[in-house]
Amino acid sequence: MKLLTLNRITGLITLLAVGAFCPNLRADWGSLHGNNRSAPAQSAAPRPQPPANHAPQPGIRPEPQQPVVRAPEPRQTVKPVLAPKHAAEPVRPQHVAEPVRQPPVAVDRARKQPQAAVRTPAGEADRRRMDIDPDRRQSFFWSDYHAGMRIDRLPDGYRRFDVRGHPFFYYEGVY
Amino acid sequence: MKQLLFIGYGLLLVAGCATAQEQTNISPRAESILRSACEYLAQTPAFSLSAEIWREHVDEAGQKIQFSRTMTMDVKRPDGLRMEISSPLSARGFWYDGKTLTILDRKHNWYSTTDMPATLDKTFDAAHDQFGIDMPLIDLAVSDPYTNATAKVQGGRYYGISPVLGVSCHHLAFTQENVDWQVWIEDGPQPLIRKFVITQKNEPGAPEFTALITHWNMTDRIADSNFIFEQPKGASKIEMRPDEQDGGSTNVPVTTPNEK
Repeated sequence: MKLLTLNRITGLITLLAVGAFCPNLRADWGSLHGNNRSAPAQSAAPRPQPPANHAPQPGIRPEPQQPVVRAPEPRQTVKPVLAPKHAAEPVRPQHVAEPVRQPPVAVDRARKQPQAAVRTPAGEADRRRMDIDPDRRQSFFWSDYHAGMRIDRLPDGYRRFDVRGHPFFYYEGVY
Repeated sequence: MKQLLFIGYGLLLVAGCATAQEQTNISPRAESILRSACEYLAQTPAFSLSAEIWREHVDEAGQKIQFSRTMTMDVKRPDGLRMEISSPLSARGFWYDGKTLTILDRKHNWYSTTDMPATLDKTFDAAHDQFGIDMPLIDLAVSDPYTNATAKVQGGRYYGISPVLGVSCHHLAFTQENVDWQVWIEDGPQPLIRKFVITQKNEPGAPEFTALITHWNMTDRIADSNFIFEQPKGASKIEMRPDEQDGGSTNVPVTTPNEK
């Protein structure tokens, strides 16, 4: 009789302990079958909606099935499209939401300029190779993007999601 | 004759409307890959798998805590199941032999047996409805995995190739009213499910269930003795108490000591 009572007490304590440590057992299904057979979950806590600027843009195509690899065409055929130097209003493409404004750079003219290094043909070639400024100045004609522009959506195939306020980008299995 | 024609047109119209309502927003590629994996699974008469499963719990402060367990599952269609789920805190075994379902709590050495229907599908329904028993990954063991998976799906998309445990997999994501779920299916001649995530999006903190299937063994036959429960030494039989919550459930068999 004592053993039976002990068993009852032990069982009760176990159930209480399980309940205390697992507050979310109510909807803790490990299968779609269990979820589908359960009553629809009450929306006790509505799913937090992302901020407006994080909302998926209609232009995003979330199905990067086979990203189209476009071979760059020969560079010599590209004519850089540069804004006129003295134009009052730079020409803005339709899709540019806001141009990137560079802060004014304070130039210390009094500072002594470093002496130019002696340039050898090999060094000059390497310097030119490392100099990406010409690339940055021109548009990439095949994608409508150019350096410095601000876009209101991610390129095709990219997905953005936020973890504790930090943006992560996902593309082809790479974050 | 005209009346019959009108009735026939009416029936066609109703059928067409019903079909349109059943259409979901699943992308063709996602549908194709999921269907191939499910059909491959459904055609396998028996299989075994090992998995690592993770459940998230959200505490009062909103912090998510993940708890992991390992599990093994043997399935013989249509009437055999053995499952072992273990963690440092608990260890449970499930046996179904076409007649009874037995649950063993190895930590306390308690077990409980109850009569069940003759097939896995009906047994899963009965275990859920009568006792609120949650057996993880039973979606793989049902007779028609595709219908089971997509029964309440509202949309599905394909997210490209992604590695899971070093295996190149197709990444699919589906939405339902109550949950979102993702599945990673091996890219190759054997479209095996390698990872599975269910997000309880309507629950506070949106906890997730994650299963990483670490090992598959597709076979033609598993011995029937594997699905028959053998009582461990010193084990006590307890009564399986029906789930009294309306629509609610627990992931543990609610039991009370047997009164004898």
